[in-house]
Amino acid sequence: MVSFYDELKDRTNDFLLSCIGCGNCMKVCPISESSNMVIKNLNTATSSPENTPLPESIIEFTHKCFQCGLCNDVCPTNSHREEMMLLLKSKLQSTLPKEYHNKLALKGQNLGFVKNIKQKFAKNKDILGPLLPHYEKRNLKECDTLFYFGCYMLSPTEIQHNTIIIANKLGIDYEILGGLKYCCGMPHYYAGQIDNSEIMHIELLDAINKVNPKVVITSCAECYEALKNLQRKMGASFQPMTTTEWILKNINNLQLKKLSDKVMFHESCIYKRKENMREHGPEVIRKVADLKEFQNIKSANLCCGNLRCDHDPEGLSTLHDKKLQAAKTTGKMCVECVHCWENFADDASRHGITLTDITTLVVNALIDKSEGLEQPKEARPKEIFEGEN
Amino acid sequence: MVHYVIIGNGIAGITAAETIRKKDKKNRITIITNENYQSYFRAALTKYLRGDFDEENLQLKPLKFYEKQNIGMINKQVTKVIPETNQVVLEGRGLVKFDKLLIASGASPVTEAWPCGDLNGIHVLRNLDDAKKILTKARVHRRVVIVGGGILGIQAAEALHRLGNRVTMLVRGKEIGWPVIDACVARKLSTRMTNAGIDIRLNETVKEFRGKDQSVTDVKSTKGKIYKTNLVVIAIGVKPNISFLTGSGIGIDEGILVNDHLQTNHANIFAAGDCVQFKNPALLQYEDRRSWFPAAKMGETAGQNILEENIAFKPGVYSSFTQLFGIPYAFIGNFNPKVSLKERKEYRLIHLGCKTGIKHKAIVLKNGRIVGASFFGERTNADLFKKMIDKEMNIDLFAKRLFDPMFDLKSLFIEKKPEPEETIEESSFSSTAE
Ligand SMILES: Cc1cc2nc3c(=O)[nH]c(=O)nc-3n(C[C@H](O)[C@H](O)[C@H](O)COP(=O)(O)OP(=O)(O)OC[C@H]3O[C@@H](n4cnc5c(N)ncnc54)[C@H](O)[C@@H]3O)c2cc1C
Ligand code: SF4
Repeated sequence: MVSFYDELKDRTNDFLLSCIGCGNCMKVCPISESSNMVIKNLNTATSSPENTPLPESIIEFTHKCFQCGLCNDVCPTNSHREEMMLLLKSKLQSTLPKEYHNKLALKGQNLGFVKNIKQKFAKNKDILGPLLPHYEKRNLKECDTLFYFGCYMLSPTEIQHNTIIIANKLGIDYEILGGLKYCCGMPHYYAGQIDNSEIMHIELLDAINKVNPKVVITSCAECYEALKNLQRKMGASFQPMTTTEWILKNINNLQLKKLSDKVMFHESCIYKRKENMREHGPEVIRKVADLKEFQNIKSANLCCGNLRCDHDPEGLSTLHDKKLQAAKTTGKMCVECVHCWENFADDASRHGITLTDITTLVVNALIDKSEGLEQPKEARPKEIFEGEN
Repeated sequence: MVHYVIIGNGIAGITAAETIRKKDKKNRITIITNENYQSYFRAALTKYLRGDFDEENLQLKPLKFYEKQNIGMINKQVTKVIPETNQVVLEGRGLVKFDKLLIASGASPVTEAWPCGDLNGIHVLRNLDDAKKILTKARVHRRVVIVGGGILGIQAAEALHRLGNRVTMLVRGKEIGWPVIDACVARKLSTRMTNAGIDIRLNETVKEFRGKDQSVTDVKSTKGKIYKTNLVVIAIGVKPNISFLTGSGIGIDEGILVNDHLQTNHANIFAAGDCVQFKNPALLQYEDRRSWFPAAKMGETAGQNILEENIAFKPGVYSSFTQLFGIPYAFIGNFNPKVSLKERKEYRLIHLGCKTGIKHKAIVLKNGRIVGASFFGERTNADLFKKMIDKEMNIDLFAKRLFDPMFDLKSLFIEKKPEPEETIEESSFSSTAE
């Protein structure tokens, strides 16, 4: 297998060669520093060897880039500037801002003592609720369906809880894998720690293999990409699936009513641009609610900015404002990926926008409101998590 | 010390120099060019013609790049190459001795011997000087005739139209862009361009130019029509710059003849970019369609081979990713195959969206194997189609599903193939045998 890093390097090498310098990418880039970027300097920086001293402006721009991929939509030659930026980021590891380190250091298996202690504190009973027993669980059972909650197990847990409610409704047997230790490694990949990410992929595969699942389901776009990597590059035999896709496959087994909600859909840039999975979300939404399109394509395409790892939060808020302003048409924005949810949460409430997600809509639309259908925190956790052994 | 000499400071030449320098820090590299500029993004010249793109943005490399990389530069015309003595002859006087030579002299626009074709105001578009002259005139004249309906003609028309000119395009064929734009796209694009105010004349070209005081005033067409204009841009194709090699003993035909390693008939002389002609018939497509990425990639490969890394130029099928009138376009592989009537039944064309809207996708199958594709409007995953075409994947059983947005194309590259079950609505396709 070609290593992740070599693969990225080869791809970006060709992107650099195919770039004709038209400057379109910097024109649409949502990051304000882009207006000062000149292609010749950016390309030369990207192709320069590691540890070449680079101008501060390029370093800052690189660390602010969250690889949303808008640039490639307008690139005449399909040169994926976002991947070139990733390569540059990987070469600039020595200057990686502390916010990245803070966020990444807690994830993965090989943590030092101090980080382990920190991680213990991260495990928050109140957040996890009924998911607590599954957190970084070691004794995993063999099972056809695996819900992979990765490090987002500690995120706002509505999505995870809803997923379980739906699974119980369908009466399937499942196992759960999650916790900071079981991070998929994609946050590291996108921060330029490519080799580290590859190791985390291998560790994840070992964990998943204990379950020996047929399908692995996730609500995180990055995790999904990691699962796809395991399948495409590392010979994993399971089928990766997004929660949305899984719901769509089972939608006829769920008795749903149509809600009166009018919602706008925020696409995950990874599903959309990298995995070409843009249709699943709208399809599910149309079944349970009223889907309204964003009027302005430019703001519709703005991404949540997750891949920047909390660096420059004010700048990100300003970008969120544009998107959320556009979402005021209905006042309700539905996401598909946990990170979009997490990143938009604060700004959405500031704008008075109700943030929701596919699983919430589906759970709300369930006709049969008996067992296990209440909102997660009040739900009776025991039954929800007993599954059907 | 070894002396590497490179003729041409275009993308092929500069990429070769950079590739060599990355690995060989000590030996001498000299680029010889007849242009008085630093290397620039030639393919962005059409963008420059829009008038809002300043010259600094055109530059390919930062200031002092050549000094920092320790690459020497000679701004002179090469008039001759003498392989026997390993020498390059410069215009005026001057000889440069080389140990290894790369010829990356690019191509020049072709024109025809039209009556009065030498009047002022009649231009070709290849280099920055051409572009500057055209731009200066286009800012005052406001009426332009573009001769040629290829991609360059279309892009020049777009730029000059945006600059506020009334543009007429004379196209010899029955569609614009043939053979690198598929027929459905050509029609959609023509409609858009016409609606925007560009006057496209198909099956019509120049018969003669007319002028006053040495400047062009009208174009008379083969249909006998007169188009009033003060500015003409000719974009009907290019030919390799090889005249300085005649009689040198270096193998040339239409271009410089090279093997798969980009080596000429002399072991220490290589060629790359728009100036080459391949001996390998599999690479024929690259000669008809000289463009940026292949030139860059050849420069890189030639650089590696000059360092004796023994790497073949294997880019797979030709593909072109570009924008036409602001709309993304991808053209991959043998999309418009030149085939005899007898062979035709082996081919199948499947397309989606030919009749309606802007977006259009199409693939060409030969005996069930995918050999070409074209995307207009949206080209997500076009690079995966290129991969499929490179492999000539047999997709007969699920060809139509490839356009289904729910279909996971990447799964095709995992060992297991999808079963040919459920196809999507037949009615949404119009399928014709070509
Ligand atoms: C306006 C325009 C728009 C284009 N748009 C696109 C596009 O959108 N996409 C795309 O893929 N391609 C495009 N192309 C084509 C692309 O630019 C060329 O294929 C590419 O630049 C070829 O590079 P090269 O290095 O082989 O040759 P060139 O760039 O032509 O470089 C050759 C150099 O050698 C010099 N030279 C030649 N003979 C001598 C000599 N005897 N002595 C000294 N110096 C010499 C020339 O002056 C020139 O500087 C466009 C071309 C033009 C002109
Ligand atoms: S849009 Fe594409 S071709 Fe244009 S400068 Fe950016 S990367 Fe290069």
